Amino acid sequence: MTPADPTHQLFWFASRAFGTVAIVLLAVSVALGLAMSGRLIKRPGLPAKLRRFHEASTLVTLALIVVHGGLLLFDAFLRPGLAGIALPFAMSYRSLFTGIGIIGGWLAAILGLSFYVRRWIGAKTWRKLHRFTIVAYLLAVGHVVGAGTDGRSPWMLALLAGLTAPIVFAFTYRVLPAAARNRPRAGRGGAPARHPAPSARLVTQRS
Amino acid sequence: MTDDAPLTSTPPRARRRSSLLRTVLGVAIAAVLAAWLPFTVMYVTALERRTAAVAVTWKSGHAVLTTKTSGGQTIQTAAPASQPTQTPVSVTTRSS
Repeated sequence: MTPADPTHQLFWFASRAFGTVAIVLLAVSVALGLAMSGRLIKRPGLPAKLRRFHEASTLVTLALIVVHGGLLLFDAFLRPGLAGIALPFAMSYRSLFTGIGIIGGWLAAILGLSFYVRRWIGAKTWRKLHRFTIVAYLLAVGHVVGAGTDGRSPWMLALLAGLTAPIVFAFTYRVLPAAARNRPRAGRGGAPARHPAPSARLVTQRS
Repeated sequence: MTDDAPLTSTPPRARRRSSLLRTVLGVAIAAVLAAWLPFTVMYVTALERRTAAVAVTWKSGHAVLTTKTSGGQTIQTAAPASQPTQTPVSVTTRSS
């Protein structure tokens, strides 16, 4: 058995390349969103710029996911058909992991675009929905590792580790209670925080 | 003076939209350019694998086709010169 002629696989390579860029941009968008919601970035004026970049990177990620799937339609080897790229588990090629990727793609589209209908669904519902974006990222990582030809190669695993580490950090910081985040470091001789958290102020008033 | 007013006072919503559009365009162009790197790496790797996997040599009037499987096993197929119509059928795999 010989490897296929690379010139007959241009759509396959292009699809994988756009998929790689899509996961990078998705990770950047998720990390930024978590950093902003967890108030990790406090410099004046910066959050507004980052919010714009967060929105733009989400829109481009969604477009890249469409391109990633769409290019596969032209691959003569795979021939997935429209159902294969749009319906989970319909493709015969590594169906579990391609299915996970398709679910992740739809989830990213629904959660990302829900921002534009938040007036109708309500800000509270939108905020609740938006928390599940991390699930879309985890599904995408599962898709890359399980379905991607390079998914288990050292460079891809290193890339995924590098992308996931800031997300894990920002997510942990986000879910930590506010009091734990802003607790002054006692016992090190450090000065107490200049702007204590609202919860800390509340404790002071009570005692 | 009053003629200049519409030029300087763009509604905040339109300003926000045009600013977002500029950012989207910038990120999209960067993404397309960034996709060239993995694409080139994948193409070159596949090309190298194929070059290394197929070799044709001549041995006493026979064309010997040497192919390497993805598992590293070497398969040799000899095609006698007297049977030109029997060309080896290539079985393609997607290893890259």
